[in-house]
Amino acid sequence: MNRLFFIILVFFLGPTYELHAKSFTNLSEAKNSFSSVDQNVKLEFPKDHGFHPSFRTEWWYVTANLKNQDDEPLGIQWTLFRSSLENTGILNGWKTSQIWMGHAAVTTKNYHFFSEKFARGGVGQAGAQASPFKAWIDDWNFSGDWNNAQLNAAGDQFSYNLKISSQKPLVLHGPNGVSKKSPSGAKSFYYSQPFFKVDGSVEINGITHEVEGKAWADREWSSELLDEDQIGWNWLGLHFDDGSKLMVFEVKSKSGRSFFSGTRIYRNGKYKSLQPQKFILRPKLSNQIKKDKIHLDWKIEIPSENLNITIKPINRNSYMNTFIPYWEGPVSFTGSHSGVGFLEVTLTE
Amino acid sequence: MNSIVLTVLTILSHWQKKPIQLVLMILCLSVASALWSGVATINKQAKLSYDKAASIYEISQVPILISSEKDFFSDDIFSKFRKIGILVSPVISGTFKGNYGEYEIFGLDPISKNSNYFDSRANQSELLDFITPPYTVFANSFTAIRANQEGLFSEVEINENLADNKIIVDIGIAQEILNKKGLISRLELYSPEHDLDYTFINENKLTLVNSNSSSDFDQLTRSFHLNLTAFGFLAFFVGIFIFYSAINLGIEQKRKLIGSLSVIGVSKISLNIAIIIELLIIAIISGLLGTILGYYLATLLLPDVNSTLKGLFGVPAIDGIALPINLWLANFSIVIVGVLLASSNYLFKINKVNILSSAHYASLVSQNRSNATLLLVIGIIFLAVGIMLFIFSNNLIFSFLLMTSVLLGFTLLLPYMLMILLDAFSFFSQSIGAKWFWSETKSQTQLLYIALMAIMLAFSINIGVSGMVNSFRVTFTSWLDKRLAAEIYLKIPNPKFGPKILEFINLHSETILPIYGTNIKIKDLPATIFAFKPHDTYRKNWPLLECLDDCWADIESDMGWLINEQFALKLGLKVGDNFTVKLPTGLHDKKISGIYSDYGNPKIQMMIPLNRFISNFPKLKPRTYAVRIEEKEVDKFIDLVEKKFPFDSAWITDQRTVKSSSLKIFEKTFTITNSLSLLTLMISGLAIFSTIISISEIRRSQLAPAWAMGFSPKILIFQEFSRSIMLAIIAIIFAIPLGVVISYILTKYINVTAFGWELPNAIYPNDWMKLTIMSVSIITISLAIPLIRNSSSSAREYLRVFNSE
Amino acid sequence: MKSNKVIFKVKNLSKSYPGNENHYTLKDINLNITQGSTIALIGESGSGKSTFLNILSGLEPPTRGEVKFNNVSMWNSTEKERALIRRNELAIIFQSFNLINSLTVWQNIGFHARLSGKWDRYLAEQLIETAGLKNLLNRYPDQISGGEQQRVAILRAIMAKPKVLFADEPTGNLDDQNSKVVIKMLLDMINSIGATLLVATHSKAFASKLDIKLKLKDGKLKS
Repeated sequence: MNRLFFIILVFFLGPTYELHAKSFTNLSEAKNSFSSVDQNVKLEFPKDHGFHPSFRTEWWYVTANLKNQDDEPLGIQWTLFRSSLENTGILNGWKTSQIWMGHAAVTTKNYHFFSEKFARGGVGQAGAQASPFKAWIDDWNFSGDWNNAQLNAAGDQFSYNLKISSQKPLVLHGPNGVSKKSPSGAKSFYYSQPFFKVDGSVEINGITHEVEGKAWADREWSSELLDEDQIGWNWLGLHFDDGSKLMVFEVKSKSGRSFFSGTRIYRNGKYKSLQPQKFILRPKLSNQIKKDKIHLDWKIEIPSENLNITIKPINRNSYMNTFIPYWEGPVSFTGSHSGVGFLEVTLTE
Repeated sequence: MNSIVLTVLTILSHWQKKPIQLVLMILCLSVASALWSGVATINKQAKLSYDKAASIYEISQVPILISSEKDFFSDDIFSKFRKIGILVSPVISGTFKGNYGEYEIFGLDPISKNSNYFDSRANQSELLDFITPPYTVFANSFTAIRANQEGLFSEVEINENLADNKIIVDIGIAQEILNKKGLISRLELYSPEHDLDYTFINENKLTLVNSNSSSDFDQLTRSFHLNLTAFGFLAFFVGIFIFYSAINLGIEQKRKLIGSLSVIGVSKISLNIAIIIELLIIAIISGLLGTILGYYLATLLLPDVNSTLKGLFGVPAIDGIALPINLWLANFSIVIVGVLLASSNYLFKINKVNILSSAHYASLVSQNRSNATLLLVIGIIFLAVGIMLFIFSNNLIFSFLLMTSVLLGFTLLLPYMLMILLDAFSFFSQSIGAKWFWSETKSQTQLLYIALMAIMLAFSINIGVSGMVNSFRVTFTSWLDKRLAAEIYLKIPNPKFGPKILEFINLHSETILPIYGTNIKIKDLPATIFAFKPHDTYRKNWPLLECLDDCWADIESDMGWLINEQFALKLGLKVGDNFTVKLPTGLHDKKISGIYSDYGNPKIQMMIPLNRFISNFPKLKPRTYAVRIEEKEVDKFIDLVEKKFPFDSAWITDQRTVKSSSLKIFEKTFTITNSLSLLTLMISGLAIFSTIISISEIRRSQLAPAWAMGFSPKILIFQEFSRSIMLAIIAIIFAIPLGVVISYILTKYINVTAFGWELPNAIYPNDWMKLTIMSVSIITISLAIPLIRNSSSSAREYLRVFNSE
Repeated sequence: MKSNKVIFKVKNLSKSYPGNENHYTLKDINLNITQGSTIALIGESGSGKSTFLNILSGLEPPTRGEVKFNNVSMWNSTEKERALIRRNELAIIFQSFNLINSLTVWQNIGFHARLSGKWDRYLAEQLIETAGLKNLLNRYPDQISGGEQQRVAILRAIMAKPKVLFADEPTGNLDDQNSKVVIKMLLDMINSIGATLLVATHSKAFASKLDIKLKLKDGKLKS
């Protein structure tokens, strides 16, 4: 799912957008100098864990729902984002025209800490490679291989060092991993590994917490992300207590029409796409909205699965006050099923 | 005017007949001034290096990391630092010569430079234009016009705050323009300094420069440069001494010439001008040669000087030796001034020459005594001054002055002591032949005394310096045994494997002790703080000089400080004194519990228990460890570990290897001192050689009557040779006790004030033997050459004495 | 004492200098000097007087010819042998005194004599008295006048009791007064030890006081 990228797009399409202005999206650049998402391309691993320079944008996104030794819930975010300013074809040196951005966060009931980093590509400061697998920016790492990896990052008041492992196969969203974002052709390559088991330690304000839990990794890359009238989205990735997973997202547009998509993933690793008409994703209306100003409480219904759940955030103040701000944080849900997960909401100003 | 030219040519023609003397005189002067100018050049270059490094700070206003070896280094290092979590930003700067002018190009990476840049959305477009085509650059309007003409940049954005000819460009573009692909000039540091791993900086051959660096570098290297200067000055002094002797001996030789010139009507003024021109010509030639030789000397010494500067002091190394005009001029003027000063006596005497007098070189026996007495008095004055300075010997400069006055004072006593000694020998001889032998020796002394004093000076310095070096070597070796008590030392080659390696080693060894530290400031002085894991290894071996009560218990439980000798000396502390240290966790006040010896370290240093260190510097991780295992298991163990973790570089070594490489570094420091010492000794050899040649004619005229009375020339030559050797040996013997005193001053005062650590003094008779044999050999060869040369022509030469009448 | 014994035999003596081989300073000189004679060698400056004296006394080698002293060839001997002859049998006085500067007047006087084992203290004291040098005994050569120096040189030569005394322009550097004193002293003392005297001089007055007068002109010796 194109999350941050959408936000960036929004702001450049919005009032600050100038026709000649350069931006991270380089919209003025003709799309066909970048590669297009092609459904006929078969994804290969571990090759496609690495980065795809001819695509305009890409990320490696890991969220984790953990519990410490006192059973308190903790959310972890690790994101590495890449944007190509020009398809120069240059992969090494200062002129690669690639910008990398990293976000890391730790959220508990009472605390939310985050950190942001930027780097240019081609000089070793940040990057990603398929084999051996490594995605990094400065001293933040996501490396190893997709069965056994190490994840670490640090900010001013926090740091974490986690081991994540999974034996289950990857989940491809959409046919051959091509995930549509709009009816008119915006799409990306998108796959996940929602079945990571985690253990490690998280340090907050000098105190170390031994943690364990679940993690969800998303990989996405594209050059044609949003249609012109699309302005934001909401995304949820949920771990059910029974071991199954669910991913749903809604892309909002100026005209008011939303595009829905999702994937239901079962305990045994099998999964199926959810057609928009097969499920309902809507915010839970309440007076909270006046305080929050954005929707942080949600309801999901999937009649065919007898699924009806209500989702609420663990910490309502989980704002990422980064260069382009958004809300991202751990959630828990109850109803016909229960569990934990992550919610991301773009900010509308 | 013509008359002056003629006079000058006539005066110079004198040398035609004695080319060797002229060559020797110029050679002596050149070598001496070469030593001086070589040393001055090195010191000047070093100062320029430090200033350049420190000035970069002024531009950046944040601490920066520069290469300690060259102007540019690989930009790989940028990501290396970033990957260990240190926030740095690369900068490359250089001069670009375009068709329309010279430009100062500054290449930056705005992304890593200041993360706050992104706060302003409006800047984003500007930023992107900077780092992607069209690669906009920034310059002021004056520069922009010229830059546009160069056709290098597609867009120049005006910023009037920039200086003329300064252009800010993206780092990638800058690298291309300056033809320095993959290179940068410096890294700006945005993380706190104490987050930096001390060894990591050194490994990457970098130096940290901050607002204090200018004074830090100066302070650290002061004694080193003073050392060099002292030698240079000494050598030059000796050279001028010798020149003085040679030029004065020239009076007699020129006597007739000057007489004839006066007779044909050349005025006194013209004569003086001509002589001054002669001196200036000699001075200029010597100055020229000296500066060139000095340059080569400096380039020869440079690698060792640089190893010392980088390895020992951690200051930027010297890039290369340049000879700017002002250095040439400075060296020249010193030589010219020295020469003129040395010749003042000569000029004075020339003016007193009685043109009709045919007196022989008559300054002699009667003046002998008065000269020697004069020198004795001056020598005593120097010694008295020395004793007074002794009281102030806490100061480095005063200590050097103390040593100088002791050196000169004792040396000036030599002529008088020789006089007394020779009188005694004469007194106790019976035959006229013997008595004559000693009286001729006294005559020779009058002519040789300067060369003899030069030998004494050089020899005593060599004894002093070798005494100090030996003391150091002996002390250091036994100290090193204590400091490097562990059997094995290793450095984790790749942090990723750290835990695995440590786990493995833990299984196969008794103990692993981490070794790491960082730089801090203690009362504004550059200092280092190290961690130690409390263990018996330290209790049993650490070379403590002082220990208060149960010092280790206090230190380990964080109740007392453990500091090095330099720390204690520089800040005037003793065990028991309270001292406050500012650490990241706050101000800590404790008593000094232990002081340990730390030879060779110019910085002050302290050690705190591991857990304390971690709480203060949580971001630092040790990469070096000491491992304790049984001695006999060492080789097997290293093999085992290297097989299990086959990394490229040798990352695990045994105690023996570490010790020998430590010793090598320290030897390097003394290599320079030793080389200069030896050079000074060789100058004194040259001195006696050239003096003997200069005085040979005069001596012949003294000995000719004996030839006429029935001494065969061979015997006369042999006697003359033995006299010279004997005098030289006596000078050397007198030099030995002086050398011992110098050694004492060096170890007890100069070393202490310069470095902050004290060596136990000892004497090394073996050294004396070695040095004596070497010096006597040099001198014997120096004396034998003219001897062999003269033996064939001696009869004719004696005859000439008579025929010239 | 005078006798007919030939002490110096000079045969076909020639001297030219290297570089100037065609010009002869001395040409084919033949001379027999008898014991006890006093000879004046007269000639202008550059005529070769000093050269002749030097060759005879063993200081300078001839180009051709032979010099025999007491039937021993001077120039077929080694340098060492010549030195010994000078030490034991000859004495030389030079124009510029050539005293040993590092020794006192007293030591200078006795130097040659002690070297050849002929020291005679009694004689020394007498001669010193005669020469008027009693108060100068502890002085060094550079502390006495030219005239005094030459007197010391004469004493030194005489004390050595040489068979032959060579004097090369002994009054050349002295004023008239001192010259007179020196000449008188020399002749008196020569008589007392009976040595042969060979003086090179351009002073006619001096020459007139000596037995034989030889003139050196164009390299040839004439009576």
